[in-house]
Amino acid sequence: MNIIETENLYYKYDDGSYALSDVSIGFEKGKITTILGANGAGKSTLFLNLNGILKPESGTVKFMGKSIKYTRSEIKNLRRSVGIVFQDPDDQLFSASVLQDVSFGAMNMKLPEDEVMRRVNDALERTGIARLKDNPTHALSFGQKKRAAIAGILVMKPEVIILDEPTAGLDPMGVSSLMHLLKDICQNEGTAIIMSTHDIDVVPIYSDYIYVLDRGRLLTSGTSSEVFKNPDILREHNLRLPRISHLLEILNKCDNLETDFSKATIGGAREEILNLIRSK
Amino acid sequence: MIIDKLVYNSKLRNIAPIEKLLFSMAMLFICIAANSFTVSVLTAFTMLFLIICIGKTPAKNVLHLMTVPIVFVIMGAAAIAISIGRSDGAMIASFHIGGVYFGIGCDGLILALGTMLKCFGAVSCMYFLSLTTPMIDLFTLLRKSIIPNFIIETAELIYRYIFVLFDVSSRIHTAQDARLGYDTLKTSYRSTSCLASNLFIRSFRQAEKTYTAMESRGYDGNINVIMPKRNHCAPFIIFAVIFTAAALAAAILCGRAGI
Ligand SMILES: Nc1ncnc2c1ncn2[C@@H]1O[C@H](COP(=O)(O)OP(=O)(O)OP(=O)(O)O)[C@@H](O)[C@H]1O
Ligand SMILES: [Mg+2]
Repeated sequence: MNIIETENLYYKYDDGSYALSDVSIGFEKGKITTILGANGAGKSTLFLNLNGILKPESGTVKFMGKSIKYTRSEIKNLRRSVGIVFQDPDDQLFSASVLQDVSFGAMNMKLPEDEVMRRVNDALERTGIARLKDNPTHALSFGQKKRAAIAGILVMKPEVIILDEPTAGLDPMGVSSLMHLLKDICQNEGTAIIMSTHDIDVVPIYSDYIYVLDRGRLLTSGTSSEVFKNPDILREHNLRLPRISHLLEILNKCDNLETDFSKATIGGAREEILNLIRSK
Repeated sequence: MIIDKLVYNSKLRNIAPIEKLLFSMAMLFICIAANSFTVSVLTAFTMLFLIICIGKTPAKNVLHLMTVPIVFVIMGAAAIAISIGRSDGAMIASFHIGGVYFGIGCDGLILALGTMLKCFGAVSCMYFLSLTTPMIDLFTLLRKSIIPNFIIETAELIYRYIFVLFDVSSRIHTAQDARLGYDTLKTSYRSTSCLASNLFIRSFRQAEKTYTAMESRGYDGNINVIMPKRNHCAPFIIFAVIFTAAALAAAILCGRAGI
């Protein structure tokens, strides 16, 4: 069952253009769902709608099957359950102290202080910035700020975590350790993870489900093999295949080899190649 | 900004801020109240010793910072030292324009020197606090004081976003410079006005975005954050007490002896 979903969601910015039109999508617990889309496709706008920060023009956002009514108390509950990590960490990190910033969400939940401290330390440890906790926020590098922003949401232990381009600006090891962390959280705690990314090569490795947006509309959706089966439609909308799929596609189309280019992970590609060799 | 960098490398940074605050305030008070050459010099040396030898803040930076108020101190002292009179009886050196004598008197000189040393003593107390105690620790302290929370919260947000704004403005400046925006006087004016208006718009949007982000983490009008507990540092307390007592004793003795 979907923990959070939208039905025929429309959102219009003040200037009158529709940033989202007729978006109906859902997100499951314990799954990582990725939103793909070119710049300006509406990913960030969608996320702000899911968290109740923006109110849709029409259509509904449903949390646990119930549509949200935008009263103060409902919004408060929604935000407690749906955490969002913003695209630019400077938007989120308001405190000059890393420790205090990370504690903010948990303190707002009125948890006892030692529980807050425990969660803060745990989150700092998991995001790999424990040794920076006494540093001032402005002395962190971009990637470190990004991790602090993520830690600030982890302490709230929300049922849904939304991450707007969490991998942007992280070093390669940082990307894989973050993705491992997210996988771990969603498997062990049953959290629904929703993320957007332009790092298309990590998408097939970690995503359970993918939605592709284009200029505010849902273009296509499915598991990674379903979405990458149609490279042309992606290319028409400023996206591309993961490199590995692209290689398999070239082998298929240019070299007339029997490869399945919806396989986008190293494991999948290896299988395809071994199959080719064995069938010779 | 340089102070901010130095303070995070100070070895005295982890001492509970309240201890440092009380110590520096006590020394400041004694230095000002004692009104004595010896105590002023003693205070300045103690503080510089703590900052440089114990805190390991590079002497070069500290001395550089000490020169910041030097111009004001010297100018102020000069004003005190020079006296104007009808005769040059009490003056060591003087010149006159018509019947008015301008000169340096003995009393004036001593007073000026005393004021100058007192200023340095007091300034070094303030530098001790600002070079060993990060702003975030001071904010934590202030939150426990009687000052209304919203004032401190505002100060904290300003402190945080000064750095963001600074960052943005230097990035815009570099971007303009890279495209020859500061090549001639005319383009410089244009670029600067562009920079200013851009910063204004950005700060506006930044405020909006930050508010949104805070709301999404359950902001309820109060900035609730954890207050880290600091362990008291016994050696520092002992040292501080001994030095404050010594300064006090020196102040009383010198007060009697008049030096
Ligand atoms: N505050 C705003 N006011 C007006 N229009 C906006 C605003 N924010 C975004 N838009 C417009 O809405 C559309 C969707 O923007 P959005 O930020 O959701 O895109 P995105 O998919 O997150 O892009 P990116 O990959 O660049 O982050 C864009 O066309 C953008 O110009
Ligand atoms: Mg975005």
